[in-house]
Amino acid sequence: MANYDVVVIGAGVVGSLTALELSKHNVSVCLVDRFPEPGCGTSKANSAIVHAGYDADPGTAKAALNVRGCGMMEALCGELDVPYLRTGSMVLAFSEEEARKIQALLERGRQNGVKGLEIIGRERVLELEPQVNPEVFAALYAPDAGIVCPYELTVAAAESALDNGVEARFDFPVERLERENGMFRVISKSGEIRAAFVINCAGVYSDLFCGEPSFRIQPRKGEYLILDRKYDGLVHHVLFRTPTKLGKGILAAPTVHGNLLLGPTSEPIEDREDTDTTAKGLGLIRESSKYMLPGLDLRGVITSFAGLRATPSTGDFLIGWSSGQEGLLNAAGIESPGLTSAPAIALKLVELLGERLPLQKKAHFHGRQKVLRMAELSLEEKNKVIRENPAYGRVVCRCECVSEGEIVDAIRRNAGARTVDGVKRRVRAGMGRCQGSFCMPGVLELLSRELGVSQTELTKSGGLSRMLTGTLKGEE
Amino acid sequence: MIKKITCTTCPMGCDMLLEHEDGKILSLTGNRCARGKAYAENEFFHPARVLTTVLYVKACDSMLPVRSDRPIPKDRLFECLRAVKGIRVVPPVHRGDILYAGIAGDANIIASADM
Amino acid sequence: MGTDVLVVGGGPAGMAAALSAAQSGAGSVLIVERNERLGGILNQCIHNGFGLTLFGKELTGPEYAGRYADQIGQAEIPCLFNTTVVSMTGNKEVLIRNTDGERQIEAGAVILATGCRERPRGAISIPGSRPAGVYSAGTVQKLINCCGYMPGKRAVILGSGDIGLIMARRLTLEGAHVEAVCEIMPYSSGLKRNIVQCLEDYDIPLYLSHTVTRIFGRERVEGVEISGVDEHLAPVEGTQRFIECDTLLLSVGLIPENELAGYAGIVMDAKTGGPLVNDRLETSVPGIFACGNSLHVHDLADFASLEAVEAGKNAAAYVKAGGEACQEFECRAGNGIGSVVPQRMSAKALAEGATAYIRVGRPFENASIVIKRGDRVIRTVRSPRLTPGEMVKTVVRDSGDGDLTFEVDSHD
Repeated sequence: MANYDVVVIGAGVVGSLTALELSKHNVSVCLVDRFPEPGCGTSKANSAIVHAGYDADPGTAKAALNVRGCGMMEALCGELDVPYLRTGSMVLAFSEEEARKIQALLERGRQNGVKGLEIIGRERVLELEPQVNPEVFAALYAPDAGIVCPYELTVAAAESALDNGVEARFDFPVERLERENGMFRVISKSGEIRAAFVINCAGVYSDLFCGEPSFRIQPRKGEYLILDRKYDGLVHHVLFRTPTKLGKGILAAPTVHGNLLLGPTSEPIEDREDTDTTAKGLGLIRESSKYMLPGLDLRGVITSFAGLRATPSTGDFLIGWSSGQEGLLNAAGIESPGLTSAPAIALKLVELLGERLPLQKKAHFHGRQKVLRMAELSLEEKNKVIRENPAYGRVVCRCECVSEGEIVDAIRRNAGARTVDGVKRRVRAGMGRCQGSFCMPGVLELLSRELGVSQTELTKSGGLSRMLTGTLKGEE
Repeated sequence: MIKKITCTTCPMGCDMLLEHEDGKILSLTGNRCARGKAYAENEFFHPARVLTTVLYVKACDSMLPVRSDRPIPKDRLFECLRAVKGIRVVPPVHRGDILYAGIAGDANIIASADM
Repeated sequence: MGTDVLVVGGGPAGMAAALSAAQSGAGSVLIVERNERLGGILNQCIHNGFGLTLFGKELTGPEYAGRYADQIGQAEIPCLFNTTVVSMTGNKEVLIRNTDGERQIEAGAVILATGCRERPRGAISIPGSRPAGVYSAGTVQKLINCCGYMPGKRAVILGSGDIGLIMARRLTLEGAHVEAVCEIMPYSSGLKRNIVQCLEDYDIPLYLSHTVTRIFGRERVEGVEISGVDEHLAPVEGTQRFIECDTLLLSVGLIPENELAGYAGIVMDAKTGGPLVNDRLETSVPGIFACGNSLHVHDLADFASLEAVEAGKNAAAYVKAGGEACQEFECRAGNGIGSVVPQRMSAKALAEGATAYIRVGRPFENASIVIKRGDRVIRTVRSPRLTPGEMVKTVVRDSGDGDLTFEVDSHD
């Protein structure tokens, strides 16, 4: 049975960045996840926003880690070769009462150490964002807010961790932890591994392993709409409504790939697998967005989705050594601003681990191998790439113009794509306006060829999500 | 007995009512032209359809579209389909080549494309 | 690299346009096709029913494509296969990519024959889970007919357009069970013949005024909820019904494929989803023509090919003689009309007789399409039955003045 110094449960953004941070040290690490790839839970379905840090109450873990994470994000995305845009954000106030609330947010942000915050008036809002409803009073402007691609970030972190010696076990849903002779048995229906330390980054399931009986996750579902890239440039900043007791409300934000994201709703749910969209939720997003951006043409919606947030019963992130379970380090209840905080959480966890496990920096750490993205190259560079590997000249996804070479690379990398959705998230084949109608058969063929499995074995997103049920080819 | 028949001769798609007894047509209503009458009679006595499907060609690892060169009695379509699926295609094949002669009487199964 | 006429797409429209351009003396003609052979979507349409107008025979899609491809070969028109047009400028500089690299072709004239694509699930926002097993009908057609794979065992089909109907039969013949076809409208936009031969022949129920209101199943589709809809197409509470299935096929409309037109700054028509064209099928950018399903979605491949013949001729004339400035009048879609193509007609074309393709907005019985200039009626097309599923083609001839308005005069 495999023995590790550390097992990280959950290859979401927090777990993957933690594994990456650990891979810089001389420790043996195994990153495990219940899905066939990293980033298939909350990390793939959220608002993709780097929050400036004025939301959380001063003194909380959320406040400190948000501000620290926000400051780390640009450099991290650069190192991992994933997109990041410092767009800035606005919290829009549509009444005098809301204007008072954003003033309070400004104060709170300053206490949290957020830089550059200012209240801007109606004229300035409309100058920066001409599509915003002209009934707007004022806005809290945060220049340091930005956007990332949360799943590309997660995948890149996991891949880079694996490049640097971390091992991974996917399709490994942890059922329970047992303590035996000073070691953990990490038990899953697909096997068992041992570790001296366990770091719990299990997202919406993180309360099940945390060893804190009073800590509970009450998941909240958020639904979203995505609009076609032809709306690129309609909105430049992340646009929030003034928060109410019910939450931060429906936002509108550009994505790093030029789509427009609308959402989320916020609905407490019992079933931790419930990522269904609802007529009510999607209706609410449409209605709220139409108020914020009256000129918005919602015929441009290309897809909808829902994600879960691991909302903690305590209201704050649970980060630190478990009081009930020796050797267990928790990063539990990582809801918003979890994505922003993730780089800071990873650092914090490794720092805490270092108190009990001597960590020595490795002499050699390899940065992530650059991703070849045809769309970013000059004509000359593209031709050089195609000469060296003609697969980059074969366009598989026409909407996003993704080549066979890019898809194959996404499959062959460490922690590579194993599913149709995995390919989509990494290289955007199937992410465009036809939503994979055209390229899906081609993607199946490439996955089958590269992974050496029959197309009928391939899944959309792991488990029983088989794409095909049979073949007309006789045997196979 | 009354049988509802929709004429498919032209896009008008007349909905016709055909009254019959003991296998004989007693009356027909709803047709706008003589072609409808002919269609209804044919559809009543000898309903038939062109069969189209695909065959796997192992040598090329691809699918070959095929069809019957004339309509096949409707009640024999599945039986013919089973027979067609047993055809082993050896390339090269050209559009129109007969792959199976004399299916359901005098129909043939022909290739729809070159391979 | 340059060519006189560049045809984007080698489907039924592209092939016909290229042949016609070559026969009209265009000089050099080049077809750029993203697949490894000519035919486009026809290659996956293995059913018969193509070519009645053009060849006087009921051909299958591959046969229809094959006949045209033979003519392209005989005319020695060069084709670039496995080649994608990446972008295009208003100066007719076309950037192509294939395994030889990416390069620019300067064209004297461009004919857009890029076909259409299917509306995805997101466009209609069906609530529920997002499992494997929700596919557009055309994708399933390709999977079964070209790739040799079955996408499911029990299917529900949403949308009773021809592709949805054809796929109901294909799935059934290949051993799957089709539980139902749902159509949100009170009528099917598919051909009667397909309703008879694809549904009735196999006892597949067609639920009109019904839509899918929820998808169930976390990993693979486990079922769908269907609901009746009211006259505003809104689901009626209390009419929900669960149907167990592992596959949901969507056949909820076709949209002209027009990314390239967008790059070139061509003015589009929101009604057709295709470029705005004049009677020469020339877009707002001189020398760029559009035809087939990329201009507006046709009912039959034959019609797309016939339209493309005109585009080919006009492109040839353009490269030989250059553009032609002429007074143009607008063709407006008035009461009861869904769309009119072309959207502009020149005085000269109207004097000689110009072809208009008209789609009504909803079904009419015993009605007329009336074409007017001001209050003056210049043409009346009577029909016992007009449906949005069937395009009406008519020739307009008039030497008067003023824009044209197309209307439905309903006698009931």
